[in-house]
Amino acid sequence: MDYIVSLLQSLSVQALAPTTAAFAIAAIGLNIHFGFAGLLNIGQAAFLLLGAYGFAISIERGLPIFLAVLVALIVALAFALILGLPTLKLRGDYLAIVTISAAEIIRMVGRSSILTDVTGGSNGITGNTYNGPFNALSPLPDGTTQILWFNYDNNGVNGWWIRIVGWGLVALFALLVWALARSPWGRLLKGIREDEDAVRSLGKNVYSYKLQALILGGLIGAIAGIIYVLPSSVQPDGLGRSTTFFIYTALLLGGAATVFGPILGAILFFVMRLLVQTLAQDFIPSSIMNGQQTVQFSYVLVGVALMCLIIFRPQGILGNKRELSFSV
Amino acid sequence: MLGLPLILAAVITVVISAATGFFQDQLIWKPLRKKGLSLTQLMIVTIGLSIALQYAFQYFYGAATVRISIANPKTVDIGGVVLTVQSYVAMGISVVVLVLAGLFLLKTRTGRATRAVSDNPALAAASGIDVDRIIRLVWTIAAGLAGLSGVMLGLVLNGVNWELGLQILLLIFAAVTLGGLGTAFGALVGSLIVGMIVELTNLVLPGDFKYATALLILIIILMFRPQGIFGRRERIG
Repeated sequence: MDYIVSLLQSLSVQALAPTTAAFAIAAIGLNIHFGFAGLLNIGQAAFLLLGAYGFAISIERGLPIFLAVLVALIVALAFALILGLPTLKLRGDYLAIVTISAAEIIRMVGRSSILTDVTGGSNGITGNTYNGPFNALSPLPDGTTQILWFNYDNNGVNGWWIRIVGWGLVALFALLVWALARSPWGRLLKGIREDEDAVRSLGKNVYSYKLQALILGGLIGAIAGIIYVLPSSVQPDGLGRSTTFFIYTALLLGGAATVFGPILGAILFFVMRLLVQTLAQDFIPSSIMNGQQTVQFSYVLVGVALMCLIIFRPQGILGNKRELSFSV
Repeated sequence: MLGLPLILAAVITVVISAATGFFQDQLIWKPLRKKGLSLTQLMIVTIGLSIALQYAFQYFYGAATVRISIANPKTVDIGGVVLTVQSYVAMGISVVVLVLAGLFLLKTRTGRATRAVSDNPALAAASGIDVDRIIRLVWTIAAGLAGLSGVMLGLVLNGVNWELGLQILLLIFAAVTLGGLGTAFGALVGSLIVGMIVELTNLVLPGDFKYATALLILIIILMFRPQGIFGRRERIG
């Protein structure tokens, strides 16, 4: 009984962690690309990485925090334009190839040794060089607060403040997506996803709408990147292809083209992985599966889960099957 | 590791790889095609499969590099160019295989049928081509060739690890797109150009940029000539 209680407690801690919130925000951004506009962006991690770099480097150079966020957004905007302008006129799979390649370029340039002075090379940027101004914004008093079994510092690197801001942003973006999805703009995006030519025949500039969707999702991705690195550090290799694939898994698990799908998906993604890892560690003897292998085992299951989702339930948990027959 | 001679091991690897292609198609892709999954959905399924396999390799073999031959590689000097024996043999095999694959696509009946299926499966089926058989064949050959290239890459680099496949996947994308998707000799020319770029980048920029340059070139091609060097405009829709 104690075991189950402590297991549930550690799962709920994971569910509310800032990383989970960052993942949920990234998935909301990807949802605008993939769920609403039908854009196959396989480089979402690059938007996170650019947001994180833009923010961290600006603060290191002494900019105030709001300007630093602005820099992160501008960098992501530029990236979205560079990716979108040439490729959105071509068939959908070209965007996929270009985004995944561009994401790799960003990561490789970021970890390159000649940029060590700016990006910290493959070691990245440590958290304490940029999280000071963010913590200074906190209105909370110093000390620790315990609510149920959640016990954190009010202001520390990984405390209540980052959790409140992270989940506050999740709620804000969910509201934004909800409002957009029922606006004429959102309906047009869905129309483009279903049948581009039909929308074009109504006299709409499909190209421009796709670009707007790519930019909006990318900006949300950059914000996710900032939240992702605030409690830890900027690690170029921690935001690579696998991150994009995991964001996809989270999005498809919860349900693409829904408001709460990305959030539910991100929470379930982390909780299920921790559950698999913990159970494997505690119940499978280490002669069969050692500690390192339980981590890999959980990732193997992520891959299998992604396949099974697409095959058996492409609409995810919350989605509507009739609406979501996504095709490029 | 099992102590087999190298050539035999290579042949077995290629056969096993080809078999995985055959069974992949039978067990996964054919049922999914029948189910009517779209191209995007199939692409995401392949991503899921690659995540699962990649971590399965890491699960069983760890993250360290596995060496194929322990001996120091011998080098030979041909026309003033000193390279390892493995590199020369790999180059020879590559040229032969690439020319054979190109001729297969252009000259044989099955090859022509393959190109027909790629252009328009429904029309190909209507003209009496067994589309499923062709796709199964393509999966088998492609997986076999992938296995062969894995063996050669492992020998040339003298080591394989769980990330090897993903590292090279995007370069392959770049090479094929550069040459022109759906063209017989595009892959050959594209690979040569991308390979040269990757290696020559070292002369101008630090080593960690070599893959980045190749990918940048891929993006530039897609911007200005998305059909690649040999491709035709109407294919890219």
